[in-house]
Formats: sequence, structure tokens, C-alpha cells
Amino acid sequence: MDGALIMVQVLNGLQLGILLFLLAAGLTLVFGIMDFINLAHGAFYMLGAFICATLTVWLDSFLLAVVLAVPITFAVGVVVELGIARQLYQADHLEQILATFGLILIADTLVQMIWGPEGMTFALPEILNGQVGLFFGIEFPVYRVLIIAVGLLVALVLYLVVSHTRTGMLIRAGASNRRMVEALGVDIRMLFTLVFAAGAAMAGLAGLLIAPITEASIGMGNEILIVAFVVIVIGGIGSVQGAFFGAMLVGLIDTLGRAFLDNLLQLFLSHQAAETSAPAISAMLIYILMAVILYFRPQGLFGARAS
Amino acid sequence: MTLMTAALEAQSISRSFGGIHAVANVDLSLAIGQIHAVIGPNGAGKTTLVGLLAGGLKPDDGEIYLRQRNVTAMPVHERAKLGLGRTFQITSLFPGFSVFENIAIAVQGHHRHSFRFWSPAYQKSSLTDRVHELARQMDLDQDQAAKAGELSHGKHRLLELAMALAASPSVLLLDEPAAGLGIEETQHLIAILDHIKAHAAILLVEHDMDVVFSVADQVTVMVDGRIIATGGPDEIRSNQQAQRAYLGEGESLDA
Amino acid sequence: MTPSARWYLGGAALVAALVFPAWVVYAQEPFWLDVMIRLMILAIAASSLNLILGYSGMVSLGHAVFLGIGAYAAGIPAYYELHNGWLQLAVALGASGAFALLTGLVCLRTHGAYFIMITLAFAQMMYFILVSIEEYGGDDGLVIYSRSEMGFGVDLNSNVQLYFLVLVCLLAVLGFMHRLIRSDFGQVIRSIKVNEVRMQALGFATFHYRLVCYVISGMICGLAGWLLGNFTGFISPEMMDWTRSGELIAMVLLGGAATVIGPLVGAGIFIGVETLLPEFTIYWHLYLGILLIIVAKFGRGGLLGWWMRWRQG
Repeated sequence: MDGALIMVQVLNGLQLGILLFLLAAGLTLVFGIMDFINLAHGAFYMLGAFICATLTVWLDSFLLAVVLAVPITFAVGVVVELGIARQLYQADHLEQILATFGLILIADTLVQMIWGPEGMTFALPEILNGQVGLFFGIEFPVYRVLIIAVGLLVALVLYLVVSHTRTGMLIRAGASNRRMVEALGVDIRMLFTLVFAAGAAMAGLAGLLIAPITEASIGMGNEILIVAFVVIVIGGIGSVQGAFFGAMLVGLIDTLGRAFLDNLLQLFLSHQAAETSAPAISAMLIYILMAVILYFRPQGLFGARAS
Repeated sequence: MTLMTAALEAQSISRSFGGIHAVANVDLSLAIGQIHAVIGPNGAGKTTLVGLLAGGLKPDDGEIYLRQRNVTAMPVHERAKLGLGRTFQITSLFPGFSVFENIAIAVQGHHRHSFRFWSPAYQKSSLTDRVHELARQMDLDQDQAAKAGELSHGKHRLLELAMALAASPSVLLLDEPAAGLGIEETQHLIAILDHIKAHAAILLVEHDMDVVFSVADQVTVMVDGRIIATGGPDEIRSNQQAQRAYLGEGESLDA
Repeated sequence: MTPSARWYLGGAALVAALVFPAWVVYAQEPFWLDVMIRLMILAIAASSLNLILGYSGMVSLGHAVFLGIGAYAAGIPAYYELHNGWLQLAVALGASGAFALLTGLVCLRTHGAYFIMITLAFAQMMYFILVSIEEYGGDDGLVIYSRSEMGFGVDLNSNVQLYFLVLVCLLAVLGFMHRLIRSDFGQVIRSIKVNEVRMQALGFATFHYRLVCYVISGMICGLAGWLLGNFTGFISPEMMDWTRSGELIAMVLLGGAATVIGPLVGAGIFIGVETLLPEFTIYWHLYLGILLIIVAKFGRGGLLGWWMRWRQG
């Protein structure tokens, strides 16, 4: 096992972490500020992927499709927030779970009605298809580097907005004390719509970034959503910082675990035992991580003490 | 007050939140048969003190002894089992349940455990008799079937007290039991406190000076987390420093 | 509804349930027997969830994990040619109880939203563990070729006999729930839901009570899982997917949480929708989704609560 192989897996882990961050950021903000559990957040992930796929085919341009798909997903987010989410902020978590569960059924069916039951793949433009030589002589897919770059860019923009703009200040204040922000005379509802739609757009971005690799399919958001929940629990609900570090941590541990655990186990166990137990244990790793962190710090790494 | 006779003793307990010293270096002891009142302006740390003694908050420094046992690290429910009862500043009941059920669950708490899964609850006469007795004592006898949430505020405070007394505690922490009570209700409360103090050591956090000076055997004044004066009621009433700290110039503690 | 009316209705339902298989055999409609068996099994699972969700206020989004554990408790022994139903049942109850105990120790230290997500995560963890165990079929699942052997001349390979076993289990579970809610333990649990701080101040070790409640709930759901494994004959990690847990929550809320009958009603509605709607459209999930949103928004106490309120005028 050489350093290059490890580096490649580290990069893969970072890429997964970036995608998780894009999903988790919106989820944690909506949860932290509006106290709204949105099980249907993965629907935006799915929608972004399908919209981008369709646009790529229609417009024959991946770049154009991306540029259009994100605002479209944002717009859908606005509509969903105004129409449904807004009605549920006052409800308790149980009712939110039931309603957003219903939303998943609706979203999955609508996608099936519009795009059919099969998934959709689409090809990347040629320039994104190759490998690029990185440091230490490693070859890594160009597209995956792009994903990491785009994700880091979004993270940077988000960080700047949250810490250096007035809107960002309101968001941070709203995450810890909604009533105070309302008392300031700010139309809190517009802030909610903005946060919700921005979260939807980021989720959509994540979906369309991964779709060329895995394909756009119905229900694709549901599985990764759970991992996003693990991320925000680890990072602390309401904290974008927490979402970032949590996502990176989860992405790296999951990827490196799956790649190298059986090698690691072979240092202690027989070849046979390591091979059979490694897949099961690596599947558990991020959940064990979550359990350990929650045991010692129930509010997550960056979360505020539970009220 | 020596360690030997105090039912509850706090030694130099402190607790901060962030940079704020809510309670700083407080010594306090309670003896059976006595009511020890703690008074002070808002923000003096009185409710934090109750939280520390009851167990909901851990002190940063200091020790707490309940019936000669060191309970500083002991959780709330274990202190309750040892004989500590409390009422809450903001009424804390089971609004959807009847008055009977509210008192009954309090009596139930005194039993060693409730891991009984089959027989219906609240059937044993030893329990129901005790519930009736407590209801009578608080003048809630007629209200036993009513939903707790539908009672008047005054009756809520009495129900709080009934629940705190259910386990026949040897130490009672009362957090503003007279809050929001009318004149008649306050007199009724004073009568009850006079009656129950015989068997319990009572800490009384209060703003209502009528109540304090009618029943207290010992008064402690807290300001900004510290004790600035402690002594008999007459001493405190004439204590200049206490008056100034509590009420500002030109006021007196003869409310 | 007056108590005596309730008894009559219950009695009528019981009689109908007892003669139902006779009708099935007579009318040659085995499909409906399958539907009823599935309905009753899910009603048991929903009842177990109701114990922690409805009565104790613990919202678990990972409850289906116990269905899966119970089902694999039938499947894995069968894989090793151990068909003794009593053994499998013991494994089902033991494994679900143990899983509930171990995960409960971690989960119950959290509250509210964190609790929801950590229960979800543990269920997904089990899902992935089972997917990765190739020996027991992994993703493709495990097939049981012969149902549990219960002895006493009982042959569960007959759907009618399985139906009666499930019916007996359902009645036992409902009866147990009825007693449990009214027992000392039940009162404590219901009170903890309303005001945990107060309960601690009254001397109750609330963590222990919630943990025991969680374990009981897990074990009852494990029972349902063992029955389900026997019924479907095909056991896969999909059984514990979080969307299954979402369906269980939907059943509890559709029928009315915190009532003994609610989960049965809810399971009935859910299975009814699932069985009948596809006759009209392949996009029936859309309407189910809309129903769930409506119930979430307007249905305090589920459809049962609605019906009660309507009857009271």
C-alpha cells in the first residue's frame, strides 16, 4: 500500500465530504433557525440532478445546464417553503416528520410522472472526462477535482455571507434566538424563505454534481439524507461550521474506512476474519463516531447547549 | 448550627454561568422545625440556589450535605428519594391529569420503584388515603376530579405544595409559593407553612414580605449571588445594609 | 362512544376476525387472507411504536430496525436448518431486547430532534451491516423455504394457521398494552412525557423508566418482525429501511396516537390505501403523501380522533 493510493482515497473522502456539506448546510440551518425537520430535503438533491440532466440534453451544454439548474431549484425551494414548510414551523417535530415524509412520496411520484421510472444519465463534456496529474505524481479524475473546488468555493461564500453580512448576522442570531430577531422588526419570514431556498439550491447543486458519476434516479436523495443527518448531529444542529467539519470528518472516515479497514484489521486478525468483518465494520464506522460524540457531547461538536 | 443537627447544609457553594457569578460562596443550613427564608432582589441568585440544592445544577465549588450525607454529585431523583421535596417558581404540574392523579403520582414517587406492569395504578388504599389526606390539607378536597390545568392560579400553587409534601420530605425547598396569590390565599398558605414546619426543614424563597416575616425563623438576604446578611427576622428588618441593598434608599422592609 | 357500545363493536370485530378465514376458503380469495395477515402484523409493530411515541413522547425514526431484527431471527436460524419456532422467537425477543437496551443507553441521553436522528442512524447502521454480510444474502436478502415449526400439530405453512397465530399475538399485544398503560409503570411513563423535570423532583429515575419502556417496545416489534419473516418468506435489509420506520409513524398517527386501538386503525387505513389505491393509478404514492400531509396538518388524534369529534357534534 503506497502513499499515492492513500492520497487518492483521501481526495475521494474530501469529495464525499463536500457533497455531504452541501446537503447538510441547508439542513442544519433550516433545523437550527426554523426548528423544522425536513425529511424531504433529499428531494431537492434529486430534483437538481434531474433538472440538470434534462437541461444538459436540451441545451447540449453541461455548463449552461448547471448555471440554470441551481436557480431553478432555488425557485422550487421558494415555492415549497411558501406553500408547505411555512405552515409547519409551529407544528411539533412529529407532525413535521409525517408531513415531510408525505412530501417525499409526492416528490418521488412527481419525478416518476415527469421523467419516468428509469434514472437518467448524461455525459460530461470531454474536457471534464480525463485525469489530471496532481502532487506526488497521483492521477485523479478532473471532474472530482472540480467537485471539490466548487464545494469549497460555496463553503467560502457561505462563510463570508454568514460572518460578514447583515443577512448572515440575522441568520446566526436567528439560529440561537428567533424571537429576538423578530423583535428587531426584521421580517423573519423572508429570512426563512431565503434560508430554506438557499438550502434547497445547495442540495440541488450536490445532486447535479454527483449525477454524472452515479446517474439521476428516483429516491436518490433518501439514502444520502440519512448521512447528512449524521453529519449535522455530529456537527451540532444550527451550525454551518459544524456541518462543514462534520461533513469532512464523515466523508473521510467513511471513505478511508471502506478502503483500508481490512488492511488495518489484517494487522490484528487473520486474513479471512479481516476480509469478512471489514465491510460490516466500515459500514458502522460513521454511526459509531456519531454515538461516541453524542455520548460525550450531546449537543454535537459545535452545537449550542440544548435548551 | 453544627453539621450534626442540620438537615441540609451547603458549604461555600458557587455557580457561574459564563462570566456571571450567579451564586458565590454561599453557606446555608436548614434545621427541622425551622423555616429559613431567603430574600433578595431579582437576579440575586435565589432560584439558582434552589437549583443547586435540589440537584438540577451542579455547583462549581463547595459541598452540599443532606441529612449528613454528601449529595454534591447526587442527581435530582436520588436527593428526592432521600427526603428532599421542592416546589417550582413557575408552576410545574401535569395539566392534563386530574388533581387526584397529580397528587397520586407524587405519592407514588415515594415508593421504592414503580416497575409494575399489570395491576391498575392507584388502587391501593394506602395510596388513595394519602392522596385524600393531602388534598384535604390543601383544601383541594372538592377539586380532586378536576383537571389540574383548569384550576385557578392559587390552587395551582397549593397543588404544587401538596405534591412536594407527598413523600413526607424532611427538607422542603419552596420557590416563591406565594407568587400571584390573593390575600386570603396568602393567609391560608401561612397557616399551612406554620403547620408543616414541625416535621420539616424548610427553605423559603420569597418576595412577599408578609409571608416571610410571619413564618420565618431565620432570614438570609442575597444580593448578586452573595449573602450580605443573615439572622433572625427582627435583626434583618432593622439591618440598614440589607434594606439599602434590597430596596434602595428611603424604603423599609416593613412592607 | 359509550363503553357498552365499544364492547359490542369489539366483540363483533372479534367474531368477524375469527370467521374471516372460513370466508376466504369458501370464496377462494387467498389474497385477502394475505392482506389481513400483513395488516395485523403491522398493527402489532405500530402498537409497539405507539408505546414509545404516543404514550412516552419518544419519536423514533428507526423503529423498523426491530422488524428487521425479528425477521432475521427467523431467517438466520432457518438458514442453518434450525426451524424451531420457539427458538427463533426467543432469538427475536432476545436480540431486539438487547439491541434496544444497548442503543437505548445512547439514544435516551438525547432529547427531541437529536433523539429522532440518532434512532434513525442506528437503524441505518443495522441496515448497512446486514447489507454487507454476504453470507446471509446481503442486499439480495434471505429466503426461508419453510416456516417456523411450532410443534403441537401446528403447521404454519398453512396461511390460515398463520393467520390465527398472528391474531392471537395481536390480541395478546393489545391486551397487554391496555393493562400496561393503566399500570403503575404506565402512569409513570405517561407522566414523564408531560413533565420529566417534575418527575425527577418527585424521586423517579426517569432514565431507567424510559429505557425499560424502549426495551419493551423493541421486543414487541421484534415479535412482529418474526411473524413478518415467517409470512413473507423473504427477508432483506429493506425491512429496516428508514422509510419503513416512516410508514410505522404514519400508521400510528393515522389511527390516533396514545390510544390502544389507534395503531390497529392506522395500520388498517394504511394497508387499505396500499391495497386499493393501486387499482386506480400507478401514481398512488402521490395521494398517500397528500393524505399524510393533511393528517399532519389537521389531524390531532388521527382519523380516529376526527371521527370521535364528528360524533360528538
